[in-house]
Amino acid sequence: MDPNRLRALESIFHDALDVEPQNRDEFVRARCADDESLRQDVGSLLAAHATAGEFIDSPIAQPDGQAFEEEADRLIGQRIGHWELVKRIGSGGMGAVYFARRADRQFDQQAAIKLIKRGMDTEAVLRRFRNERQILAGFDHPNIARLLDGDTTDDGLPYFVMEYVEGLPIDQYCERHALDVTQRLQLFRQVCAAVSYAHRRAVIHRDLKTSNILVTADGTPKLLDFGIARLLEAPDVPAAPATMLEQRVMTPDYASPEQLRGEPVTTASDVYSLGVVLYRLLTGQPPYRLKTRTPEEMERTVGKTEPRRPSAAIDATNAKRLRGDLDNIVLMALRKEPERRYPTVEQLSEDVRRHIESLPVLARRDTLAYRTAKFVRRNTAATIAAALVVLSLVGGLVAASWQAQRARAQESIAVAEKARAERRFNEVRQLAHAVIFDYHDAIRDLSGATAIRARLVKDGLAYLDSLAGESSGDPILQRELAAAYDRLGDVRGEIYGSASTGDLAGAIESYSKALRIREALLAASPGDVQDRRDVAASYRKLGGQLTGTGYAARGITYLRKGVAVQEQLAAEQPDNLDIRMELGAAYNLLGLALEDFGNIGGALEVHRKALAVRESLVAAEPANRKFRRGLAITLISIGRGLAMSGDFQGGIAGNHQALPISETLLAEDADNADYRRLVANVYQNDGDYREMAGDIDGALQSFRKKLVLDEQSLAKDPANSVARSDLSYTRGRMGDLLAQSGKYGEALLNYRKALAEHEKLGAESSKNPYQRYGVMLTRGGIGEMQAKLGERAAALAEASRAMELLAGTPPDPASAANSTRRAQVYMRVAAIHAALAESRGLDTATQREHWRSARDLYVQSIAIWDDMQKRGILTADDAAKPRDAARELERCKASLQRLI
Amino acid sequence: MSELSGIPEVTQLLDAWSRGDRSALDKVTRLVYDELRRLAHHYMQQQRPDHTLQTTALVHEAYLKLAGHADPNYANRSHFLAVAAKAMRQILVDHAKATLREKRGSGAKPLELEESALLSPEPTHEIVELDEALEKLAALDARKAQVVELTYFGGLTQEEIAEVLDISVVTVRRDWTFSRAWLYSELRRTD
Repeated sequence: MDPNRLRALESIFHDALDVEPQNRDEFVRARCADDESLRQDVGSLLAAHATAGEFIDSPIAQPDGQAFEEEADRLIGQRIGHWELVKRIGSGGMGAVYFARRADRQFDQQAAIKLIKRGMDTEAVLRRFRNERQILAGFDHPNIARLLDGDTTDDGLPYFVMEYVEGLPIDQYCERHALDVTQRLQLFRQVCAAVSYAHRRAVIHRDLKTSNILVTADGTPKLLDFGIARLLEAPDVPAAPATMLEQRVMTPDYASPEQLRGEPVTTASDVYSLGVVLYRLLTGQPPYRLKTRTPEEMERTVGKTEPRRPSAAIDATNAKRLRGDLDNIVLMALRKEPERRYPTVEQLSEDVRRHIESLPVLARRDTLAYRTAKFVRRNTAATIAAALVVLSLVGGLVAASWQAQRARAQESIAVAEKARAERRFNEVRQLAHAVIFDYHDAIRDLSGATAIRARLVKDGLAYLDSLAGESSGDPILQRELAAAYDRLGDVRGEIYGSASTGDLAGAIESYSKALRIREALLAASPGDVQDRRDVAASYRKLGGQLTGTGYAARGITYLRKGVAVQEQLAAEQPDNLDIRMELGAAYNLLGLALEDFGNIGGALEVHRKALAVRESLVAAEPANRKFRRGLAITLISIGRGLAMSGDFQGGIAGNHQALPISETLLAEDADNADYRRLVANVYQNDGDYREMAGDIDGALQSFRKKLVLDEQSLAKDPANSVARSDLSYTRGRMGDLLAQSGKYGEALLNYRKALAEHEKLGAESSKNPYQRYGVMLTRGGIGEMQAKLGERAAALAEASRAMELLAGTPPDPASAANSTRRAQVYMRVAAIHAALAESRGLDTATQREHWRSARDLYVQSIAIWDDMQKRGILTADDAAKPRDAARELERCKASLQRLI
Repeated sequence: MSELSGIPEVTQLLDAWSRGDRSALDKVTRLVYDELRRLAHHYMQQQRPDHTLQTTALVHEAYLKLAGHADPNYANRSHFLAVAAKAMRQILVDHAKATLREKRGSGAKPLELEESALLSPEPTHEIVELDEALEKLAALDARKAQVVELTYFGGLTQEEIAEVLDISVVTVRRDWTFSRAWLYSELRRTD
């Protein structure tokens, strides 16, 4: 590149930045005229600009540098907004803090002003501040320093105005006043109460540490900086390769393992930091001794090693007091896995209380079972080594069999030896097969074993692969290989499903390999029926995986190919019922994928084709239950398609046709949980469609029928968690419907029963976000009913609890299912406040307060709906909800207007 | 150099440089470089071991030492910071290269204590790569490379850079935005 070209590049680059992002491509193309390479250079520069994140944004070494100190001192005596900076009272990683007074002397007010240093992304900080100011400014808790305001200085530095607190950091306070252990614990519990208060409002502190907790002269602890860390947090920059000067707002000594890894922060991270605070208050020391401060070392030490027990960190005379309960409480808060800590700050605080009152505490030392599982997890290498012992057996055999393979070709080899060689070859094959299928299945349920399972399947596969390479002409072996790849794909895809950190690309790669092998086999013997069926099966796997993970368009392409192959096979062999059954399955999958994609018309068309196929199967074998079950499912799907396209009566009628078939199946095999669930599903759909059609009483009747079935299922198998969550869902829906008909008391009863089932499932501390959302919505329902019935305190408690749970559940903006539930939780809690605002006997100020809360929550829900709409993931059945939220928002605003 | 006794040498050199004497710059850089190394060593003996040394603090302290309060010319301070930025870049890049050599086991001289004091958590190879990319940029547009050097290695504010380079703050800002994207894209391309 020459300097002139750089100048041209620069000029277009800057002009393009002034153009709206969506018009940039067009603009650049016009400006670059015919110069394609210039266009590309501008394009990659713009991309670099967009993705560079914090790349070299802050000087290579600058925090708390003297330059800032000097600048900070220069500001003393100056005015910022309405405030005059009187003196500097501190400085830290984020900037300096000043003691300030109202400059206009209208009020004799004092405050602490936190000035953010240069290098932080001012605009983003302020944007986030504006988004959250209502929530943060609304904090009213005796142990939280209030955030009053925020803006930028004339020089463009962001600043926050906070309540001024005069006091000592909590650890120094304890030392200075020589507090005993119980007094320290009581102080700590006040801190917990403040954090809990914030969690109930979905605000996480993220930077709890002793220097952020000041204790005033009268002994009141005050938490500083609530919400600030979140405001300063850099937005996630996808795939930024440069880790240079990556800045996260946190204090390494207090940061949880997940924070150090840069993972989403939840309320559990605050629980962890509180554990560190408690550790310090009890021992005067940090739980880990970090030798250096490199991110790698911190992550390794905090993420992989166990902290010393508090009692082991201090001298023997004082250790006695900590041994047992307090050790266990602190270590439970400090657990690596967020879900194994106290589920809430409140529960941590409760356990401390129990200890103070000499009641048994909930915290226990890690159980042996847990430690064993942890060993497997932490020492993947050791466990894999054990697995590899098995594999090395295979390996030895492989070497022997290769020789045997070669030997096979030599005519001079005795017949007996040849037989032995073949036996060997088959042994290897069986062993590899056993590793992939049996050994894998044996450890399937061992938690934390997923990585090992993937490794097992992969290693077993490698042997099969090498065998297949040796005998590429053996189609049976090739088929086995393809099946093994399918299995590997299943394992990888499952990783994706359970932890969302998984290997989607890996699953698709494995399925693709299986497909390629099968296509090659088919190419070698065109027309082979088995190979064609296998290829079609591969299309189904790939299509299903792609659709299930959000790539519906590509998934549908494969599913259509699968349908095409199956249609042809069925045409060639009209009497082969297996082939016809596969065709039905292929139609069914394609129909579901089209539905997911929002193409309801296309889905209906495909489901109708499935109907013809499945009806013919039942006609051919009326006694075959599998065929009848398939037919019922297709009838249900057609009903759903009609209802989703707005034809509720058609939906009810279509769905109803599945009823006699499923009821007969259940009558024939009364213990079959699957058939009972099928019947229950028909009733559930019936209820849903009736509700959509406005027939609330009819809907309620259907759910009552479903309830009977759900209760039967659970009675027969109390350990069945699917049945239990079905039951809680039904109770929740009955609550919804009863609430709509104004039967608040009865609705409340049903919500309570739903909650009881949720509790039995341990849903509140579940890792599964949908279980958690289920609880939140149920609690929201309970709260709304209580509000309508005038039980104000109880309603507020439920609202708080729902918000607290929400704060502890990380959002996943890319997922429609996750986002829609989040938005609904906001709406539910908003409805509680709206109902409270309308309850009798409230003074105007309290009424206003409730309307404001409701308004803010509706705004939050609308933000999610809007985002979903932008991403194109708002589905038809949710389409009305944003409008509901908007209407309710208007109602809040109008009521607020009226009350002024 | 010492005919103006009582005025620190660095001030005279900086004055000479601002009047257009290019050779003065080399002399200042050497002075600053030595002083920075000396200070780093000093810090290592005094500070608590867990205290990470901040280069900006060093640079400012070096300025006080070399120019002292005797220098009434505020512009000299900016010029000094510019020189220090260059020296800082040199120290850090040399250090990074030495670390990389050592990792490759080519028998480079062992790390000196005071240099390791300047160690920042950045992966060393990234500093070397950035340095190389910066050289490429300098060949195309020297001023842009300097803006980056002053910002990233010197920790200067945009206002200070505007003064050092005698350009407007708006130009500094534009240069910075463009250079940052250019360097980022360059580093990513060579990955």
